[in-house]
Amino acid sequence: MQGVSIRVLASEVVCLVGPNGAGKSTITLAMSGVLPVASGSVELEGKRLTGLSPEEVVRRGLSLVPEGRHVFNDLTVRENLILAAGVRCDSKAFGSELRRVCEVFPILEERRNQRAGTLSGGEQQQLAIARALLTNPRLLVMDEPALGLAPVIIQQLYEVLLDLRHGGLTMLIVEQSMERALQVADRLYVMNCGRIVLSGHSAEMTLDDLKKAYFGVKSKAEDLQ
Amino acid sequence: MNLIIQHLIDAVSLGGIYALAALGVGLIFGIMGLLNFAHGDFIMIGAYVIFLMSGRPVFVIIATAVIAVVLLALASDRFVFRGFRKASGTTLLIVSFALSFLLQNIILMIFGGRPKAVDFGQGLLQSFTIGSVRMSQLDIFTIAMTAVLLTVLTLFLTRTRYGIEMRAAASDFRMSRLLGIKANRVVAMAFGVSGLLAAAVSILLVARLGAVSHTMGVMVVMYAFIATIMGGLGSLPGAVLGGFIIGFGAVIFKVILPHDLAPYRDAFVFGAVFVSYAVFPKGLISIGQIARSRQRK
Repeated sequence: MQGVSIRVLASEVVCLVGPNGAGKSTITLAMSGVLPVASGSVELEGKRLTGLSPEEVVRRGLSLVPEGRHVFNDLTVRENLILAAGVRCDSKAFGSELRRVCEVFPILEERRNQRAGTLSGGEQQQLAIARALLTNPRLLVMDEPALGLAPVIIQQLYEVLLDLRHGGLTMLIVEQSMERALQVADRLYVMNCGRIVLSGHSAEMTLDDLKKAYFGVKSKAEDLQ
Repeated sequence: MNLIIQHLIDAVSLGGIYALAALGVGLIFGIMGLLNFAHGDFIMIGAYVIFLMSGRPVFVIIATAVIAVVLLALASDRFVFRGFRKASGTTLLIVSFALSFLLQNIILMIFGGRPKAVDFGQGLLQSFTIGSVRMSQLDIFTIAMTAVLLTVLTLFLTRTRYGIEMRAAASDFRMSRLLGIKANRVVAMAFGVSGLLAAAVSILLVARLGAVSHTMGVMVVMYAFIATIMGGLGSLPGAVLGGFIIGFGAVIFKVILPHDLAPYRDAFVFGAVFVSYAVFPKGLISIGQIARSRQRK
């Protein structure tokens, strides 16, 4: 990463777009404490997260849904969900939060005693997001939530994510699809080769601007930075 | 038929010991990618505690051995392995070798190299008959203890939050940390449980052998490794299954091998494991996590 600076304001959806190898996942892993940060800092609501372990970062309010979902295949859906309880001090509040999350993702309630490994890709993604929501994040970071899902499932998933945004959840989403990023994001960052090559409000960008930045073609879009 | 039942009891009894040892090894491997060679020496230390306590009431001996081995396992995590959390699996393996040699040599310095006879569980060596099947009390005790421990451990792993955390960490350590599960606590719990399992194996081994030596854990842990690999590294049910299969294999080869080849039984068991590994390279119960990136921090 070189000179990368990303800001996500409260209740905002920010998309990070870029080709494979641009460094998007590296950013999310560094933010969540999985990868060490050589220089620079990660801050959430003015408090420094740099150098903290992943379990401390999630306790401070930054939760990551990594690429590939990473549900615990051998655990049931319910067991996957209650793992997030460790972050919460109040077990009663966790119970009500669990019910609320199951209302958002009703399929999880239906499948609560099923092993997570037997769920479809879309259901696993819902489980991964539900699990992250149960950690009570103030910033939810999702790395390619649509990866490997059928278009109709992606549409349903993004409808839920937009509902969550209306509920005030702040999100940073890593996205490969430029069209989708333009639709859902308030602001966008385009990364290429470890640098931010374009950033700005999605309303001020066109798909053409994004494509040029994405594929490394110099254009007037760079002026938007 | 009676002979088959007797051999079957032998196999379940021996398999139970290997299953408990393999579970102790598999639990630590699943969570931190460490093939803990020193697990055999935890078993050996437990045996020496039994030796030192012999003559006292059985309950006191067992409680002391369990406490001592659990504390040793916890201490090895806190003072040895915690400093190597970010190290590769190879480095961890070498560290565990070092700890193993250290523990063996401490015992060698204190007690010498000659095996020591222990008066523990000798009453269990008597046999009894049901119908026309003759069986030893020790085999039944071993099977009962294995069944109780596996049941209790299964309940712990499936019904308690800490147990679910341990299963999650064994399946995908990095993801469990991303959900706020505290790495050091889970690893310490895993070492505690593996210490408990090692102590159980100490008790069963001393009752079976009637003697202790500073190298007594080496062969057991070797079988435990093989059982763990055979069952599928990282899979806890696989470790138990592997343990029982090794036990059955050992008894089968003991029965079928001609007298002249009997001393080479272990070679035949290991040969059969090679064949199993060729057929099931990921183990019998693969959880698909073996090749995962082991980024622990």
